[in-house]
Amino acid sequence: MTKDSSGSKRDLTRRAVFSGSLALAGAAAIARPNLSLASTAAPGIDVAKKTVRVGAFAPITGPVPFYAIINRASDAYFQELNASGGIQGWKVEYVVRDDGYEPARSVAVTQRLIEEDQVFALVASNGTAQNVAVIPVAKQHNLPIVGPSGGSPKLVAEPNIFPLLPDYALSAAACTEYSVDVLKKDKIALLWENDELGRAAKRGIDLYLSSLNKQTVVDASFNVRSTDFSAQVRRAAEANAEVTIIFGSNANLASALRAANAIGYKCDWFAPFFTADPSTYGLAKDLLNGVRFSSWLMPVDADNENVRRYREAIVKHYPKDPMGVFGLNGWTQASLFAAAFDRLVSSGNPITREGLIDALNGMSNVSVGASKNVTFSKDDHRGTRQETMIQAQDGKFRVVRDFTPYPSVVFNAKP
Amino acid sequence: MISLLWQGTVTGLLYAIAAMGLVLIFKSSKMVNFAHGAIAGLSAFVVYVATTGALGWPWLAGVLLALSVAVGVAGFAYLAIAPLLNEANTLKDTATTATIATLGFGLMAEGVILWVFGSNIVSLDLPLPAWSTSIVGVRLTSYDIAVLLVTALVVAGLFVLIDRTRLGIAFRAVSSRPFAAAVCGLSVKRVHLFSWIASAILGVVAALLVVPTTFLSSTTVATFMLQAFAAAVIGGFESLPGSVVGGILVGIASNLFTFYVAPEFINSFLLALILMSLSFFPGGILSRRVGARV
Repeated sequence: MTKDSSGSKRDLTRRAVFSGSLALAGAAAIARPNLSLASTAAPGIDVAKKTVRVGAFAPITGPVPFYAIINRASDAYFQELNASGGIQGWKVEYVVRDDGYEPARSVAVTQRLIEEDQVFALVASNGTAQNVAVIPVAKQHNLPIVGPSGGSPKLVAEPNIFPLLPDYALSAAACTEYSVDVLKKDKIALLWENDELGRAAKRGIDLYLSSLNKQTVVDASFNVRSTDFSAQVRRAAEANAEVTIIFGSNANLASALRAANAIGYKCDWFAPFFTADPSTYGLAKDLLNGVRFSSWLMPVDADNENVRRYREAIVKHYPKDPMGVFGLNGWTQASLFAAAFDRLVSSGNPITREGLIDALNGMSNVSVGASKNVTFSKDDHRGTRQETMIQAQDGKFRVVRDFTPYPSVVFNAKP
Repeated sequence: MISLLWQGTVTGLLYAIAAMGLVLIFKSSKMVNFAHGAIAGLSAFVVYVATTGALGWPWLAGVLLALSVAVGVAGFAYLAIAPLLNEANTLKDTATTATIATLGFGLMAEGVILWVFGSNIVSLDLPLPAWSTSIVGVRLTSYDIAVLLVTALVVAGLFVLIDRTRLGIAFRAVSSRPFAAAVCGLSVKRVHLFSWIASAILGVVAALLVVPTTFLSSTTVATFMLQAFAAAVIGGFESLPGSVVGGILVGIASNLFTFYVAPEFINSFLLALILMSLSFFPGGILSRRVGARV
């Protein structure tokens, strides 16, 4: 099943985007593979060289090229892993191909990763709609998708997909629960992006508040490209909202904070995890201080060994990339694959795609990358079940509450 | 309510400055410059790059560089489009062709922004002190004062330029009777070029005032131009005072609509406003007589 390695490496040298594959190409040239052994192995597995090839599609071009930061961080993780001896001696080869952030191209790229590159699994494949689009082809080949960078209930429902990104309904409910239980404030305004992300957040908040016989005092949506939030913020101010939860991009959050500052409106602010990023400080500056974020990842400034390794690796391998949530996300998704593959190798079972799926299904309360208590079971692929509360303080992001389970009323609700 | 009206007025003045840029070009050459926003956006990025990071120039030096770039790009755009334009405007089709050409030029300018500066959203503030006060329940900030002062300066400057200078007299002659102006020996091309350059400068001023409220991306300023376009249409597209009134009306109406109805439908609202204005005030809101307009 395994392709001629020199040929495939030449192709990767020409086309692959990240340098990790190039480093492995050099290593492969020195150690000639034992093709007789390799030919019996699963796709992407070279037993003789002890290499496992995984892949991803990413928007290296297109409307959101900065999302590829996620995959470069995954690549940095694998480079560091390989340099420190790999996974029980197994080296990881990471092939990333451009899909331009177009779901149709993601399908074609996945087909190519399966048939031409013979990848063992996808790791940190990028984009929600893109990952949903490749479900049929992945299912057809029983291809594990480990840590897809996309949040959708459709991904959670698949037996071969293992997402870490939580449903935004859960994150939003965690923010609401913190407001009510910790801050003792229940006059909540909700500003939500009028797409899947915002709708999920609204669902979570409405579910949680209705369980308390309460409701939001303001419920206003906005377009993702909005940068004028004066109307929505004024509504929150006139309703005397004590807390404003905004689910949108970091530019949306910064715009809303500016609008609030312009009219002198003060309240407690909550925003999604991906806005707990240094780039948001670049936009909102000191106005960001005090904003809280319910996050499945530890903050990028965290005094944690895994997060510190991420910070050092990014400076070393991709110095031009910003250090932030996007990169930490990719680093964590790659860590999940490494943890699962380690379990598979330790189990002594054959190194197959089915074996990897079994290994992932057996993970319980495992810390991977910047995430804690990751759990998968055969019937429940919601890898993240707890979130930490982060607060922006003096230009940094600090943990103000440790990882806490999601509110059960929302976690156990039917999708 | 007073607060909404005040904020609407301040925002409306920004629309007015941008609208005046559109009107200047339309008055002189009967073409609508759809590249106005993109050129202004490009200039705002020049200020950002010049004043931040490795360069770290003083804000004023960055603005001067941006003005030079805007004038250069606008001049180049006009000279590229000029061959499509019948100088004496005796053929209306030529203005239409030139208008379509500005659309293409605007798309190219947006492409250049993406190519050179990337797709990131950045913050570009005015160097103003963080001052604010409250008067009868209305919060007044240093930014509001800056917008009022700059608009007053721009309107006064344009008035002096158009009403009291030889260039202004030539501009008015070409605007009202292009053929007669050409026969009298006036250089129609120079007047067109003047309107493009003045328009580009107004675009830079509007962009620098808008960006502190919206952030700067490859599309921010171009998107803002829909409001400016609505202001120009309400003003009659040929009247500079009309664009100021149109800008304020659009600012207030948009603020009331987004607060009381739905912010998401603001673009639909603006398009409806444009259609209503064309139906009820085809000559502009300050027009004394109702007549047909192209």
